[in-house]
Amino acid sequence: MLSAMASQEEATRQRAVLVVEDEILIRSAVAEFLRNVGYRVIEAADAAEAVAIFASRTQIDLVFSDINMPGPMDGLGLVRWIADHHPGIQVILTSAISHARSAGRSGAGFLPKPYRLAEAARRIASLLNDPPQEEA
Amino acid sequence: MAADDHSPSETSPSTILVIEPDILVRMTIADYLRSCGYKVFEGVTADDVVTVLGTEHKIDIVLVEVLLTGSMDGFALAQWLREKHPAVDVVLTSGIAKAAEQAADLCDEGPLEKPYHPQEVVRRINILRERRRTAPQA
Repeated sequence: MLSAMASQEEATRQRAVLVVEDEILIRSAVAEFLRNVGYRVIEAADAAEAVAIFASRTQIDLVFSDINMPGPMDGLGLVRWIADHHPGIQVILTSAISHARSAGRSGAGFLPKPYRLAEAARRIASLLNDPPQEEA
Repeated sequence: MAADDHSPSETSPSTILVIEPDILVRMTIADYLRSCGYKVFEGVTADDVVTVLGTEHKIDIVLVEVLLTGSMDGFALAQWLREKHPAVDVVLTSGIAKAAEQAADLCDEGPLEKPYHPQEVVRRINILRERRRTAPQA
């Protein structure tokens, strides 16, 4: 009974996407689009901020991260950190440079830049097994 | 609309650019402002403000932490905005003592001292919007 209630609660909970992107205009555009299709979105400007969000125990269902970012950890490093500390969290990496092979090896999905926002949302929904969502 | 009402004071929502290097503080205040109906951009440095203001996005208010890394701190950014973008209002926030004295000529009410309540941010925003709305046109 309790587990049924828990799974129903899980099914109706708003999914949370952590967008990790150092360019504010790209980050804001992606985040706004994802909010409009119904996700809770947390914005991080680099991998260190993403790690801080996980440390705060904020609920995260999926990470959508750029690969090339300033700081000691890039997107591929972030994928490795997530695999070590939060296995089960899905990651989609993006980059203007083709990193499809590296991303594939890391277990993350890859979406090359420039991407259409609707395509990003579709990939996220697909990984989270969410039904396709319309922009509000 | 009363200045302490916790919602945007105009029919079209104001756009707030929150510049805060601590992601947990930034996330909390940005989420709160969105829940109040504002459109919110989130940034980390003064360079983010310059970038956003270089586009077609209209920003009404910049809520900025005094202590920033990069080319400008919050004080310098407020001064730059006053010179280059006088239509943009600024609310400074700070965890450091004495900031109010330093900010006296930049921000009429002085910086919001941390920890601040998100509702206090909205109250400040509404005061600024009301002041801007009722100011004589140049």
